[in-house]
Amino acid sequence: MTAEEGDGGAETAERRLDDSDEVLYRQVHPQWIADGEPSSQAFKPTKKDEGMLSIAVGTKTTAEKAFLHHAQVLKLASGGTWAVTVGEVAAVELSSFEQPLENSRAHGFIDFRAHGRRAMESKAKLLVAKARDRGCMYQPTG
Amino acid sequence: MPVETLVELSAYRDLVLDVAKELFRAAHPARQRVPRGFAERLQLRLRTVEGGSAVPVLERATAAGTLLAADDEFTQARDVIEDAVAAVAGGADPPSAFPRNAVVLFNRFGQTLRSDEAIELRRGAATSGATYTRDVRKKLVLNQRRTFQEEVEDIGWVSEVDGDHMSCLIRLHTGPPGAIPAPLDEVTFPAVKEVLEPKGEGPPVRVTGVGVFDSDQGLIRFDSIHDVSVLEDADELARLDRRFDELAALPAGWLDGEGAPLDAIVLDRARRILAELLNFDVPGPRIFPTPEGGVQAEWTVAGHEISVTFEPDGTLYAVSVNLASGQTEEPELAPDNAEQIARLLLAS
Repeated sequence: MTAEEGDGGAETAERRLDDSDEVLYRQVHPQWIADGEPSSQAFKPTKKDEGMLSIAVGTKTTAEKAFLHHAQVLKLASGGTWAVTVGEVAAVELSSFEQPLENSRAHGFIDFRAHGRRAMESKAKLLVAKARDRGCMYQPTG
Repeated sequence: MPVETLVELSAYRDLVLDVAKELFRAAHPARQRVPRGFAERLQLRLRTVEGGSAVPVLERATAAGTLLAADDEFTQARDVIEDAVAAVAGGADPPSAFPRNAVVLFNRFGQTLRSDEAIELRRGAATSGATYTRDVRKKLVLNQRRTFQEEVEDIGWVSEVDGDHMSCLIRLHTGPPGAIPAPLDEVTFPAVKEVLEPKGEGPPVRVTGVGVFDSDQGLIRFDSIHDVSVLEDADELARLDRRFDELAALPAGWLDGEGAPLDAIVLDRARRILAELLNFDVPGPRIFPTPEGGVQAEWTVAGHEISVTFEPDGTLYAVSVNLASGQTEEPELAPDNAEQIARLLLAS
C-alpha cells in the first residue's frame, strides 16, 4: 500500500465544505488512544495548529490512505484514523474547510479560531463522542 | 454537618485546655501543676448549629453554683489560638504571647482537614475570624518541630508483621519508596496478618491512619492505623500504574516534536488522586498526556463527557459536557481532593 494522498501537486485554494454527509478523517496520536478510544484532545487544536484542526477530506482520500499519508509521507505518529462528518462539525457551530497543501492534496481543517478554551474543550468532547460512536475507521495491524 | 467536624470540635477543646494550662504555668512560674479541677472548669457545649453553611457554636458552660470568669486562662487561650492562626495565615510567626510549648498541640487539631477545607475561628459574636487550613496547621507545627501529623489514606502492601511489638511495615503506593513502620492494635493486627506475604507481595490494601511527616523527608511512619482492608480493584490499580509508568517515560517532543515531558510532581499527584478514586464507586479513567506536560483523565459517564486535567502548575481543570444538550460546566476542583472528582462523576 502506498500513500497516494500527497501526489496531487500544489494547490492552495481554501473552500468551505457544505455537504453535511462528507466524512472528515482525523489521525489520532498513539498516546491519545486508551482502551481503544481516542482522547478528546485529538479533536482540539494544539498551540501549533493556531486554531485550525487538520483533517483529511473524505472525498479526496480514504481512512487507510489518510493514515498512510500521515505516517509515511508526513512522518508523523498515528494510532489510527477516526472520523466526523461536516454535519457533525456544523452541529457544534464550527466550520470545515478544504485546504489542499503541496504535500497533502486532501488536507482540510476544522476552524476553532474564534473560540477560547472552554468552547474548544466542549466542542472537542462533542466531536470525539461522535467519532467514538462511529468507531475507528482504520487502524494498522500488527 | 459532617461527623468529622465533631472530632475537630473535641480536638479544639483539647487545644484550648492545653494552651490554657501553658498560660497558667507561665503566669505562675512557682507552681509545678495546674490547680485541682482546672480541666473541669472548661465545659464546652455545642449550643446550636447555625443554618446556611452549618456553623457549630461552642458555648462555655458553668457548673451549678459557680460563676464564669470573664477573662480566665481559657478565654485567653481561645484568643491566643486565634491570634496565632491569624498570624501564621498572614505569613508571620505566632505572636510572642502564644506559649511555645503549646505549638505542638496543633498537631491534633485539624488532622481531618482536606486541602480545600478550612476552619474559621470566631470569638463571641464576631462575623469573621482567623482561617485555619491544612497549610496553616503545618506551618504552625513546623515552627517548633521537624515533624507534623496528618491523616493518610493510601493503598499499600504489608511487608512485615512483628507480633511481639504489635507493629508492621507497609509500603505505600504514593508514599516513600521504602516500607514505613506502623503500630498495630487488637483490631488491625488480624487484618494485617491476613494480607502478609513474603517480600510484601500480598494483595494491595487500603490503609487509613495518622502519618508522621518530616519537613524534609515526607511521610516517615504511622502514628496510628485506623483501618486496613483488601483493595477490591487490584487490577485497576495495576492498570493505572502501568499507564503512569508509560507517561513517565515520554521524552520531550513526544507529540510529533511538540509535547513537553511530564512533570514528576504532576505525575505523582495525578497517580495518587486517581488511585484514591478507587475508593469510590466510579468508572476508571482513560489517561492521556497533555502537550503542556500535564495529565488528562477522561470519562464517559451517563451521557456526559468529562475530563480532569492535572495542569503543570499544580491546578486542576475540569470540564463536563452533556452530550445531548451540549451544556458545558467547568466545576472548580481543589488540587488534592479525589472525593470532589468522584462527586463530579457521580452527579452526571
